[in-house]
Amino acid sequence: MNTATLIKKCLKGNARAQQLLYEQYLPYVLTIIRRFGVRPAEESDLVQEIFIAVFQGLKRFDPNKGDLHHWIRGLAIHKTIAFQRKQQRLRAEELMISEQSARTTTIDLSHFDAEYLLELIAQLPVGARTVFNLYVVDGYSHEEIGKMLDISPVGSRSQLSRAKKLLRKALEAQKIKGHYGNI
Amino acid sequence: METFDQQGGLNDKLGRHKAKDIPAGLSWEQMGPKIRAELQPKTRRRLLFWWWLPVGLSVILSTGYLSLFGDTTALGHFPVPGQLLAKNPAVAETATEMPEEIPVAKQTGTSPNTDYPKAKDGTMIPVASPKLTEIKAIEPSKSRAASIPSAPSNDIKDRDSGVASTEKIRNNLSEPELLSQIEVLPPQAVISLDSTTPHLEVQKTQAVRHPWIVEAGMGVAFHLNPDVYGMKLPNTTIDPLSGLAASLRIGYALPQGPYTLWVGIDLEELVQRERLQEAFPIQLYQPNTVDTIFRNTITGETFSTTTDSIPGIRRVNIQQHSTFRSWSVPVLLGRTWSAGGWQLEGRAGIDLNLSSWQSGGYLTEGYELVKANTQYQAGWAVRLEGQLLLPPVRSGRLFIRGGYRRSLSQQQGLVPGSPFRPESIGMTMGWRVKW
Repeated sequence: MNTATLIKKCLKGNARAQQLLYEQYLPYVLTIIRRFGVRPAEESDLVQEIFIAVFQGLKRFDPNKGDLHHWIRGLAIHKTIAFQRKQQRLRAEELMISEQSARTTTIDLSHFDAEYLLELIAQLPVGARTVFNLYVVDGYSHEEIGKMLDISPVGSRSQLSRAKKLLRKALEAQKIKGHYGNI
Repeated sequence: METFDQQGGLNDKLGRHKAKDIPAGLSWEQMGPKIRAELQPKTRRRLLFWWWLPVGLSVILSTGYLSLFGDTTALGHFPVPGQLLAKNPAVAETATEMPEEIPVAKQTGTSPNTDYPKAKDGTMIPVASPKLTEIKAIEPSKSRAASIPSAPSNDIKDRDSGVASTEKIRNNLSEPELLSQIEVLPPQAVISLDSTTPHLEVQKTQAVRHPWIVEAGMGVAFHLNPDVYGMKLPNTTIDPLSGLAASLRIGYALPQGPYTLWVGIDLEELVQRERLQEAFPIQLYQPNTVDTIFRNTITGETFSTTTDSIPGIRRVNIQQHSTFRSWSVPVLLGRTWSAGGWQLEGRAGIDLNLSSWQSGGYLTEGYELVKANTQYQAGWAVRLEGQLLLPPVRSGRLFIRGGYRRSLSQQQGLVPGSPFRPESIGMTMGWRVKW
């Protein structure tokens, strides 16, 4: 079933089509919400909220103008951040830190396993983790991140520097232990 | 080479990564019904919300109608000085029934009163009198009320008396003895027909106080907010905050003067509808996706919609539905003025209050937006009330009350971020009983 047909059937309320769409995109959505540090006990509420928004917003999605996966991913990111803010885990004042930028030494991550990287990212503090995900993984600019999190672009850069510094420390510690590749 | 210094540097590795361990609780069998249920269009409960009003009004109006136009209780009977027993069936009934004090007369040996007035046919009919005089033998009257035996039991003719106990009494007493017992009843305070002094029983009745009063009523309430209308917010229309109120009051009539101390509990549930005619879209994502955030220009609450594939500015109409609930404990002092059975009461005092405000938003297309959190506020206020009470009936009396309330813990009008309003008025109708 192609995407356009799947969307049409979902809009008509076809339960089978809705199930297909749900099962097809649930693994991606789950990765996103775990990447942003949502607790396992809260996953079902957030997944429900995301897919309700997906099915309700399908009527405004034009498959000729965009990619459905990309659209759902953006929706899931937005809902996850809103959820974290609602839980008061993302406070603007905590994100407004000023730090000196870390050294921008390039680190090759191509040989690191995705699961391992996700584990590393999950260990970051909530503010640094969120900015790191949005900038490095999802490709948002600091200006866009600032609007999403209600902080300044400078604050976004500070959080990213903090995240990179902490990740380098973790990777160096692993290198010393000889677990993963060379930096 | 992927790095984490580049914007989107890990997009390929992590952006399309699929989670492998999916909990069983996230299966479609578990989540599907809940998701599909939320997709059903919601029916708004506006009509059902107001069911209290017709039901409450019907109860109050029917109770008031039955009490005002129903049967009245017959007043109790007591001997009227100067009035013939025969013409007063209640007195005759009293005369034929044996009060407990009658045997005392036998012991004291008092003689009954014989100074009876004469009826037209020459028969003498006994009359209630405090004086102790001798009894003369009289012929039994033809009236039922005076059907007492003229001779000892053997010559009794059974009248159509339906009182089995009185017949037994008649069988046991002769006429002179019965009359003598009546004569020794406790002396009456009023002798003259012209006396304006209330009878002893009436005086005793008037001396009894009913200090405790209970009132219960339902009505409507309106919260005033001049500040909002003065601000003239652009693109925003606010319907008045109005709804239902219920109250239960207990009062104690103070012995000194026409004052009453009141304590009670009041409940209000009010609804406000706010319509915003403009949205403020913000582009957050890559091209072809737009997410729209709506901001309540009064409270600062934000609601976000689903994403859209068409970028740019969007103008939509959304309606925000807010529910306000309030619990108050008023403590008031009232003063009453009476005239012709009607009463007017003025009250003043304070109340302690706990309020909650819950809001949610709806797009005109029927979608429900994110709900805001419930806000709470506690405080105290000054309360002024005026109450009109109708003349009392058997089970109580109807009242109509108007009131004004001004919060003293929230001095200002609408505070940004706080939707609670400091002033309100209300009208209540209900029932009052005393004991």
